Amino acid sequence: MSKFHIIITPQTNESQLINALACAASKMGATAIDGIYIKRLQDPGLKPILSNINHITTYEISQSTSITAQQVMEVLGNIPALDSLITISNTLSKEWLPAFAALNNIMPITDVIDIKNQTFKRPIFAGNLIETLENNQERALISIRPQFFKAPTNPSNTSFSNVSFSPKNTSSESLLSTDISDLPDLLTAKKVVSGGRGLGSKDNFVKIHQLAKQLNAAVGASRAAVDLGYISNEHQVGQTGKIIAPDIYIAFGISGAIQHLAGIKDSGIIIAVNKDPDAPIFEFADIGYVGDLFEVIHALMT
Amino acid sequence: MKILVCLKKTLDYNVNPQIAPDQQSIVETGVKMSTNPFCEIALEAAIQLHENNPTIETHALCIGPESHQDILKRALAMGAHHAHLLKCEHPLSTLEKAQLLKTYIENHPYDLVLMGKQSIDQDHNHIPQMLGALLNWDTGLFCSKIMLNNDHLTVEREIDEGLCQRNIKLPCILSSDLRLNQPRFISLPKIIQAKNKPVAIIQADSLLKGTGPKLTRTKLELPPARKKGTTTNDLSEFLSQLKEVLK
Ligand SMILES: Cc1cc2nc3c(=O)[nH]c(=O)nc-3n(C[C@H](O)[C@H](O)[C@H](O)COP(=O)(O)OP(=O)(O)OC[C@H]3O[C@@H](n4cnc5c(N)ncnc54)[C@H](O)[C@@H]3O)c2cc1C
Repeated sequence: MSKFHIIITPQTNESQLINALACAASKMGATAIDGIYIKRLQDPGLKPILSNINHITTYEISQSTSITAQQVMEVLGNIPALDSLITISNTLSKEWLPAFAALNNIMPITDVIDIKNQTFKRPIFAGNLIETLENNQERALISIRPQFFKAPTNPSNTSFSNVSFSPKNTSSESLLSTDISDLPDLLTAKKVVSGGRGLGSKDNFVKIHQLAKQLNAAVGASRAAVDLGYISNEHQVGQTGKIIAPDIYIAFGISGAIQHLAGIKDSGIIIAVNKDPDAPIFEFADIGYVGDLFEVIHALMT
Repeated sequence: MKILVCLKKTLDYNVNPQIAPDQQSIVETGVKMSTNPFCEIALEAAIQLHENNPTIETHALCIGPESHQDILKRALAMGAHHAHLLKCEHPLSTLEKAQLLKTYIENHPYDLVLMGKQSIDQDHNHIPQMLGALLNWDTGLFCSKIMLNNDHLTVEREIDEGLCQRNIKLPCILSSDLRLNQPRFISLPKIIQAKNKPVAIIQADSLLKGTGPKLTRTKLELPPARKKGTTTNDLSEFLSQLKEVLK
């Protein structure tokens, strides 16, 4: 019997993410799943989880800023008989998972979107193709894109224990900029309002924020908008930014390059506003308006 | 100080990849191939560092068949001082490449290894992290700014929460994000000059520990296509469609 672990670090919508992880584990054949939750001292800890998870061990890290790859690895080093491990694909796991895999001589499988036992699907070429991989290893180290694993939630009997943990390796890293706002989180939001080069200036981009607020949506951006300094990098959507799949994605002044499409193609409804009738975004938008974006924003705000 | 920049040859980012008849690989013949954009940014970063500090030497390295020498010649044309091909005729996994680089670096010491954060074909984002772990070197991922101080580097990194900053001791590995720089244009005379510059070829097979493939690709397929929807240039029609959706 192999042992399945899911691992989660503090994030918004934790219970939704844990359910996605548990869903991925059951697709690999797990009947019993143990969770590892690595929290920072000030984080409140997990709320009851609706999923088939036996037990969650919380590792409390006595450091306030961030959780580093080394710290995650120290926690994982404490776990006996680690067989399969599944985590969410984000910049933190991108840091520790390949490192941990290399130290254990395992090929990790990252950004997985579908699982059937030991067969995994993942997008390549900015999502232009999907590859199916068979895992020939005894153990599996997986990261998933949570939007592809929607599980029915079952009442849980999860028990909890807490290990206080003082990592040996602490690296000091400071967050320079972050856009702390009361808007929904981009990765898990149901609605996203996004802006591109077409906004024309940082001042104009404020209109995207205002519209997002009115619609209770998260704010996204194209790479051009981030490069031009209209908005900070954590809002970038696409191959090199965040991969999202909201129910509704509204793009203003974004041309629809394949690298941008890579980040949104699994969205429910894509709505595009662009003054160029030949913009590639109209090839995959469900609803499109050919015209001035400011007119549309103005009309929606009043 | 010696910098190693690792370069991968990939399909050009403007090319739409086609599945080969075997349903497992991608058509590469007759298709434009280039240096992976992230790797080119890493190379530009190294060149900028040595332009500001003549004691720095930049080495470019590629793992692949002999036909991949062209991107190394390009790297020489761009400004790299030396070029090395770790010659290997068959494709390797990210883990094998990291193991290979570890062995190579143990025999050829470097102070800084610069790599692209991911390749635009496999989109893995693995090797810098793996190499950092195997060498037990400090690793700074997704860098959008690199500043060289006396004995350490200060880097800015793009993470999900925003931008963060950290000091990193040498030797270390850095992976580049797109906003790190804009690679320079390479003039034709430089490309012609570089044609005669040597590329050192190292047989990689002898450095590899052969184990069976850990992962097997069994299929390649197109993702479900999105249907083209409707477009209008009638604002009130669009607004009523939009309001319907947002309800
Ligand atoms: C390796 C690599 C990775 C990349 N990763 C990403 C990524 O993760 N995310 C990403 O987004 N891009 C990425 N890119 C960049 C991508 O190729 C495009 O350059 C980028 O997405 C363009 O952004 P944009 O659509 O905002 O700008 P543009 O392509 O310049 O489009 C602006 C659009 O605004 C429209 N417009 C202008 N004014 C108005 C107006 N008043 N009203 C209505 N419409 C107007 C124009 O018609 C135009 O279509 C990557 C590129 C590379 C090479």
